[in-house]
Amino acid sequence: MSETVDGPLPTERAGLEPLLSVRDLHVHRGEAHILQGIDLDVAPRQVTALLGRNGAGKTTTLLALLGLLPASGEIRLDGRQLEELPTFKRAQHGIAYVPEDREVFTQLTVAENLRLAMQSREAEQRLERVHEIFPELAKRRSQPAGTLSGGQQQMLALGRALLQPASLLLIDEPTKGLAPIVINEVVAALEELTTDTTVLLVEQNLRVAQQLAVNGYVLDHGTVAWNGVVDDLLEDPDLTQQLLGVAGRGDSE
Amino acid sequence: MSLEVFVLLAVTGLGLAGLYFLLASGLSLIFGLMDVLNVAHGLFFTVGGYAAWLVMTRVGVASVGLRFAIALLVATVAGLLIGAVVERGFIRPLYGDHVTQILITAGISIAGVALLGGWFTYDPQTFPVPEVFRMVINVAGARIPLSRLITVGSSLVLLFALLAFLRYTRHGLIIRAGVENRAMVQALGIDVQRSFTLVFAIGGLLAAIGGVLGAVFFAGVTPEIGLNNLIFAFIVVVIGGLGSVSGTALAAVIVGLTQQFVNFFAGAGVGDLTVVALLAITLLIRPQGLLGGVPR
Amino acid sequence: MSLQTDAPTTADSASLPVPSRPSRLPWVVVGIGLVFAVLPFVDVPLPGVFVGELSAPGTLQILAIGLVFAGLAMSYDLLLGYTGLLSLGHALYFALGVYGTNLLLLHTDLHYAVAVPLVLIGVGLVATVLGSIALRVRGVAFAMVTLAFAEALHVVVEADPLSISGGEEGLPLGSESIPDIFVGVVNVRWVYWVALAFALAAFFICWRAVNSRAGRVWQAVRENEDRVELLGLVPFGFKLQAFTIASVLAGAGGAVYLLVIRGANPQVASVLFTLNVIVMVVLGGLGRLWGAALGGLVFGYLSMRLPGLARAGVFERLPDWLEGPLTEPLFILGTLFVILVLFAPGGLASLIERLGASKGRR
Repeated sequence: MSETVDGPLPTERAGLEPLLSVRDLHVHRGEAHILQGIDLDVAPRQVTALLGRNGAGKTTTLLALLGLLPASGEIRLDGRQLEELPTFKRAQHGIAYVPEDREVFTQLTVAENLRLAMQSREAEQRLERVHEIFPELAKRRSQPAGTLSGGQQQMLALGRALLQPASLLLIDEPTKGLAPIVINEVVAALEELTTDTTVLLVEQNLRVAQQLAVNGYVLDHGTVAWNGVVDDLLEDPDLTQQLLGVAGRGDSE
Repeated sequence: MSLEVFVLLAVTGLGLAGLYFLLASGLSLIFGLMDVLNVAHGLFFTVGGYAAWLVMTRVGVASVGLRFAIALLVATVAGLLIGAVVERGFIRPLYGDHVTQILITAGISIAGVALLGGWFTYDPQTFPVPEVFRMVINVAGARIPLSRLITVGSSLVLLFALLAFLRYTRHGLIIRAGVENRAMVQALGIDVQRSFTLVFAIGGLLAAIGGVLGAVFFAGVTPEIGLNNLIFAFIVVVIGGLGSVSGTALAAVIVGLTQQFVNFFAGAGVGDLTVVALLAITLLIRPQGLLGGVPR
Repeated sequence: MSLQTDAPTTADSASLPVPSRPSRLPWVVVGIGLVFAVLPFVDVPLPGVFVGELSAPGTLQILAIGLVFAGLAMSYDLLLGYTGLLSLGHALYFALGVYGTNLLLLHTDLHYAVAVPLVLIGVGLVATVLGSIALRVRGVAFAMVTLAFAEALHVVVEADPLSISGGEEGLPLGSESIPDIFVGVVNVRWVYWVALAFALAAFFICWRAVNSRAGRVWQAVRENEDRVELLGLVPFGFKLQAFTIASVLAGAGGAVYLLVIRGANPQVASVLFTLNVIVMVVLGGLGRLWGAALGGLVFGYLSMRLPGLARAGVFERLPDWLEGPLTEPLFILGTLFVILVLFAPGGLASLIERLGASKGRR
């Protein structure tokens, strides 16, 4: 069993003002206490990784941040309290979400999927940029999203999130179930767009996590088991083994 | 079977299909978007019929045609309002509790039927219709009442209007997306609850127009006319696939024609039973319905 | 909803609901049953509440209908209240009880006491077959399938293709084959006692059922069906069991109802009748047997009594637009139902419990 860390959060150590700060986040489901008081900070304009074994509570954390699951605790984005707001207001205040299974609208065309996310005039300009990063989406604009490949759906899900006026992207396992070549493509796109965006990234593929993220958190049984610089974690095989149950960097699926 | 019998049965069956579609399309969208089985939907249909009856018998406009136009307009507005009021007043306070939402629509249905019965009795109320509805035209030797064709035509027009609304407007886009994945629509920063009121209002509107046409089709309106047709509308919704408007239209045609033809050739009631059997078969073989996307 | 969590599915923390502590409820019901049993001997008038004395045939008739509805409501509570199954087809099994019994009485020489068990076996078989089809789907789809099956019977009864059910007119009671004590106005008390016996039997059967191990699985299914599967149990079998028991009880209610109203009427097969049963249960209090029973009694009483009040001219001074609806019992019951659902979700039972609790505190 790992014990909860009470040390300073990475942003505190770096003296950075976090964009997102979460305090004492709890989620219950029936009798199960799934999140047991999560504290985490996400620094602006960089990728923060959320790691942990299956069932540690990573996706639950993202859903709780979005208000898609009933939760208690404090959620502050850019100085604004979000915990009382319904999901759509949280999104309007700047959280965009790329879910684990893409969750593109399969019956809608690519263009309609994107149009759904466009709610302001600036979105038109952002659409151009999305088409630049993912030319595939422009090419397949009138194709039903359900007929896209897994990688293309992932691009659509990312592009959709980029169209929102978001200050924070929550991305859940963007490489899950993708072929290695496609993973490289998606990672390259993520690298490009994360240079100036704040991201909280859930990722099982530690190589990808290390490539993209600076700071990270490890969840275990609904608590924060570790936080710090991702490189420090993944270069310590014993610690990685203990926290994530894998042999070391890059060996996970 | 002689050709004229065939044509007459087909046109009547299609007219019935039109009425089922007007009831079932709203039901299907409401269910697809909100998981609410709206038992009060039959009441929306009935309200349309009574609104038309009231206008046709109590409004002092000499021209029957003009009165009928007013009746249609009043019924449309009444349907829109009752749909919106039911959603805002009774469904929204119970948000998140689907079973209770269904129960309350059942209560509204019971109270509404009894209210109309108390006001207007349970006898069928008939009203004068414009000349054109009483005309008979000759198709392949069959004498077809024009009112049947008008029912079919109006339903088709409303089907295409609804499809266009869903396809070309932002509200329609949100509804289509919400039927597929409500949570994700919210995560995109869209207040999906506003669409709830909208689909109820649209559903009420379509059902109420259906009620006006139904009062002509069935030659009178009774407090239970909506509930009686609602059962077949439910069947249409399930066969067509929950949340799919085109599926609903297709299933309405199948159900309407089956019912007419089998009832005629195999005896009254057998057609209704066949339709129930169709439902059972659909659920066993293809639980998501003909054009339903995601199995629920 | 398709958004899934990676939350631990803690099968270990999921267990069946703990059996509740021994309750005094059965004894209270026995007491109430005794009070009801002696009513035919009480020649006291209750002006306003009933026309004539408690022992008057008219009063006993109303109470008998209320008791049948009480039993019927409890049977439905097994489905919706305890197992979470929203059936819109309960009328089917009640109507099978009504029509099946009457047809046996009319066309065979069987005694009522023999005909009813035969009918109930039939109802049990039908419920098992239709239940296993309907239970292949969950939630609202289940509601629609049950509705469609019930409507099928309604269609048959009304269209009457074999000329046996009397169509829309219904079918008068085959009174030659029933014991003399159930015939005639003078003997209403016997019919009343049968209704009382049915209601009591329904209560004790339901009580035993919901407090058995199976009954606790039903309640677990209601709370979270997937978790029941994680426990290694198959919800289907348990749901079918609840469905069949509830249906057979409804059939028994139908057989008694046939005696009470001395005939079979196609309305008992209609969807409106099922909706009425839902109103009874929710009005009284979902998930509490005594609440459902209370709802059935209240529903039976009001639906029989309100038209009488109207005839007596109670609403006459009201304006027409109010008088019409107020003479419709279903308007008042439906409205009451909607108000209770919105403002007192536990129904009359929870109002009574709350009243009791606040008195207890004082």
